[in-house]
Amino acid sequence: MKHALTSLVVVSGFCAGWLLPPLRPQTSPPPRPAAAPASKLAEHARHARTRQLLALLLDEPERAAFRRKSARSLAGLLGVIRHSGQFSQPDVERIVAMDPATALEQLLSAPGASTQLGESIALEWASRDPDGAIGFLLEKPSYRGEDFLCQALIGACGSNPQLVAETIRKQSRRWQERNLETLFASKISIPTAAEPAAPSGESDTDNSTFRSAWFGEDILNCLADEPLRDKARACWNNNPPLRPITAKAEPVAALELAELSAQDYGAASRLRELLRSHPDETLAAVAEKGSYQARATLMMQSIQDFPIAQEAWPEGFKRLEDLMAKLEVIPIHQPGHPETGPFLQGSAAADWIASQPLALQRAWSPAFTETWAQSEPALAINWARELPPGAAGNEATQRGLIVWAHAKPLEAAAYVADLPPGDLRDAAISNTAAAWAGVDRAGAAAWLAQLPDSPAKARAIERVK
Amino acid sequence: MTTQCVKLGVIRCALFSAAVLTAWTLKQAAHPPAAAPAPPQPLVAPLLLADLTDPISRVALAQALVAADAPRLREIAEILSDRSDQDLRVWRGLFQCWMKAEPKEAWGFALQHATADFPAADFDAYLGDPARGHGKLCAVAIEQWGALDPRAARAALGGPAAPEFLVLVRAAIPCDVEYGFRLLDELLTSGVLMPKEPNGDALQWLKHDWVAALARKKPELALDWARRLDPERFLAPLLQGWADCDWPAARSWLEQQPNRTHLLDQTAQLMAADGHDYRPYLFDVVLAALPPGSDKAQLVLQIFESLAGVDAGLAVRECARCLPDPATRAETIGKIAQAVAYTHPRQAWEIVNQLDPAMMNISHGDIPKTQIIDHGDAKELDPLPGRQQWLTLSSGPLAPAKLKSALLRQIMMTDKSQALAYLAQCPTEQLGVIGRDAIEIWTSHDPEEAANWLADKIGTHHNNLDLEQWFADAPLDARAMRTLAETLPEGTVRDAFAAWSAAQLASNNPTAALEFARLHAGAGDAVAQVYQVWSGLDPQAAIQHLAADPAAPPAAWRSVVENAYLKLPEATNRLVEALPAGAARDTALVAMVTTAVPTPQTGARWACDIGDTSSRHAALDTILTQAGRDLRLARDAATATTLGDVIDAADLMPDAEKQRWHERIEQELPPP
Repeated sequence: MKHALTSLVVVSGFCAGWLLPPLRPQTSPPPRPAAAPASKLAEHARHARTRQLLALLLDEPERAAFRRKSARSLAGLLGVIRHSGQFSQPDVERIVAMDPATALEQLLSAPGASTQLGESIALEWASRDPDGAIGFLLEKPSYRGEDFLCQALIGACGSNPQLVAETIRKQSRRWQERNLETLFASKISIPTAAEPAAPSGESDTDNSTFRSAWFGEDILNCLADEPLRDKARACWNNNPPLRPITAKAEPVAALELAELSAQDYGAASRLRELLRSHPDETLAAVAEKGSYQARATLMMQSIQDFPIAQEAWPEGFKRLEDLMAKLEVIPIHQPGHPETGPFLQGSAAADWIASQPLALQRAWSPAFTETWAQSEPALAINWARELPPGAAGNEATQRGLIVWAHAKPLEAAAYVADLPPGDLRDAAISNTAAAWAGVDRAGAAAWLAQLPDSPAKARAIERVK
Repeated sequence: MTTQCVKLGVIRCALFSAAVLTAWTLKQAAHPPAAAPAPPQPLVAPLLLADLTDPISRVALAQALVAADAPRLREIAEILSDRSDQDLRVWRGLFQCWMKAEPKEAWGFALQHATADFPAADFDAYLGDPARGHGKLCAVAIEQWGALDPRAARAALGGPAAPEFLVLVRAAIPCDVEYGFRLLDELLTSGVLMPKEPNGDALQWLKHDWVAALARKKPELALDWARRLDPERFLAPLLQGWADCDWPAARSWLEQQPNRTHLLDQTAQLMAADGHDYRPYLFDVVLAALPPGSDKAQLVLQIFESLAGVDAGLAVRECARCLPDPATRAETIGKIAQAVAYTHPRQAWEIVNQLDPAMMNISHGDIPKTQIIDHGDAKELDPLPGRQQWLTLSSGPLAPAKLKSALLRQIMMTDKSQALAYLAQCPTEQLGVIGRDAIEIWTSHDPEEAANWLADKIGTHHNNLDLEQWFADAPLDARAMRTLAETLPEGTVRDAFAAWSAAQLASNNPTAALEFARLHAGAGDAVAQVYQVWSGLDPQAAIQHLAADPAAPPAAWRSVVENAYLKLPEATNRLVEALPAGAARDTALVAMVTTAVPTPQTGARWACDIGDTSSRHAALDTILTQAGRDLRLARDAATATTLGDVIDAADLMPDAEKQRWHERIEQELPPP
């Protein structure tokens, strides 16, 4: 009986347990609050993995372009552009499609922001929504806001010239004068349905829906007075033609070579072009009857072809000698662009310079010594000291010393200590101390302090203070 | 009995509870809850159509790879192996995911498709002879596996004889530096020849960071490696890593090194390349050890610039701690501010604003002007536009004042009131550099407001501010100019503004402009400017008016003669020769010498007529220099003779001076 009762208790307990509801529903579980963060974490991890993979699958420019294209928010897109410092017209169009007002607000308040980006946005926004863009920018009183407004007016001019005219009319005369050049020198796109002709009488059809014109065909009368309108017309006159016109080549005979003066920049420019297009003919004509200025212009243009590579310098010098014989002028600067060279230096070049007329030695020696002193300062300076009177040897020596003292002051100072007394040594002390002080003021002062008292030392101390 | 009943009841209760629990648990097991839905996997089929050279397709591939499980990854791999536009990047992406999900299967696939070929130029160099190995695909697989689990990859690959072993070593070191170097040791001691870089170095791929990382864990081991591999390249990173974990020991080792200075120079280069590598204790040693010179100065600037990119505040603090010389410190702080100026202009302003105003124009990188001493007299020459000058200007930092100017300009464009507050704090003597850009914008928008502010700030202070240029874009018509000139308080600004206005007015009404200049500008410069504008427009009228204007300053003659001579040479010559001796005539003659490019004898005659010794000397020097450059003249003996005759005939010239010029002629134009 006892066992039967116990069994009954167990069975009934089992039945009760079976009937209890399960802990989790078996079908269609409702979303649980705790599940959301977990899925967010998974999402975040997936994004991180994707980014990691993209670093493998795309190179940096491709990644930057993709980040810009895939930025979903204005903040994201502006962040990418700010990071890379680059943007394209599609970026501008996306920003305008998202929220141009917020973008401009940010660009107007951040001093370091790209002005160019803001101007592009203003222009694009105004071309799509003239009222919105111009209305927004009229409320922005900063100087940068004014620049953006100008671009908005240019952008809006094609589609809503009345609004642009009205806006300009409401501005002060001073505002109009200040921005006149920016506005009236700008090219705009006008829907082809629009009637008026371009002020210059020229236009070109870019495609089937727009034509190009200069800003201002409907605006001129909105300017405050006639002088401003004259200025605007002058802008139009200065604008290049909408269709490029190919100028006919001018023959060298058309130039008054014997009369060409230093002030005739246009003729000098034409002469340089002729040398490029007809080198032999131009050279012969100028050598025969060119003024000093004409011959010097061709010389300076020709030495730009001096070879960069050191092995080719002997050949370059030979050609230069031929040219000097033909044109009968010396080149007043040595060849070489500060960035690309050639960087003339070394004993062979030095020997060639020393064999040339005094005027060339004087014209070249300071820059030559300066360049050579970067690699072989003692050799360069010794060469400069041996130059004949009138060849700027003193200046060349000092320039070489300055370069040396700037790079290796201790070595330069030791060299100066061995110089014989005189003007050259006195100047060397001053120049060495000044160059040394530029990189190590305390060291220069200590060096000067141990020199015996002299006018040169006093001058140098004054200079490095 | 009662106790027994209670016990029985408790037991039955316990049994009941156990039964309930058992039944409920069994029910749960019999009906498991529905599994969470698997994340949707992007369709792989589009990959069949996509152009994998297109970045967008590779982005889609990346998304597919991240979402894919092992079977799907295999499916993608199969598709890729049939494609002709597969490349190294695509396979790297695939194996990175697959090695994580199912490495053995991925490796099996690589072995199966060992003959797959694809462009991988950079990678091929490390592969050795593919004919001896498993193939390029296996190398990619090993690379990705080695980066995740180098030990497993090593086991799969076998010994260092496999050409892919080098790929494994390269991948393993960044993952587990100690194990990676152990693999490298295995490779080096195996005697297997490693492929060489174009420069002949077989270990060019070994990054200095890896040696530094090893040194942080096992400095002694890293030291052995640095010596074994290439001390020139790896001792500096070793020092860096060692210093991170045990600076006293590292320093003690450093002091014993014979090439200590060179080593510290290399360490400094590492700090300059990456601001994260900056270590104050190492920098202190570098600063004390490197010899003075532009290289050191440039290196220090680069170190602080890099550090500023990481933490501008720390850079400023370190600069104050390490650089005792105020000028060097100022320049460096300017560089730090420059590094953050684009992204944080206001922070840059605050940084540079801490500097002593006396340090604002410091620019250490500048090459000083060249001084020449002639018979005890010193003179400074203008900078030569040579390479050294260009280098120092282009690579050196902006002077703090110039940086402030650029920042203030930006702030003026966006927040005028803030800019004006900064301008008010600017010392007057520095306004010309710091405030100029901002003030030019201000005058171009609100000229009256700006002019009055300037007049108040500058007063009668004559400080060579070149104020006239500040009004260059002021949008003022004639009436507004006159009104402003009349209402401005007397002083430097009014004079400068009036001079500028007079020059503007001269283009429409020069005589009225002259009157205006004499009334308001208070200096002869304004009158000379009016004549300059006038002579550009109508040289004949200008020179006639000037000849009849005894009150005109001598400077007026220069621009008028320069303009008039080009159009009316004879009339100008007559007018100049008719001038009485004095400053005006001298100025006019100098202008003719420099403008007219006369024959040497004509030029020398004009020059010899100049009364002022210094001007005469300069004019004759110009004539002789010009003659020396024109070989047609220089080689003609008549040139020297004629010039000598002109010198001999010069009434104003003392004999000693004549002698000097004869010597110069002989030197410049030697007989052929």
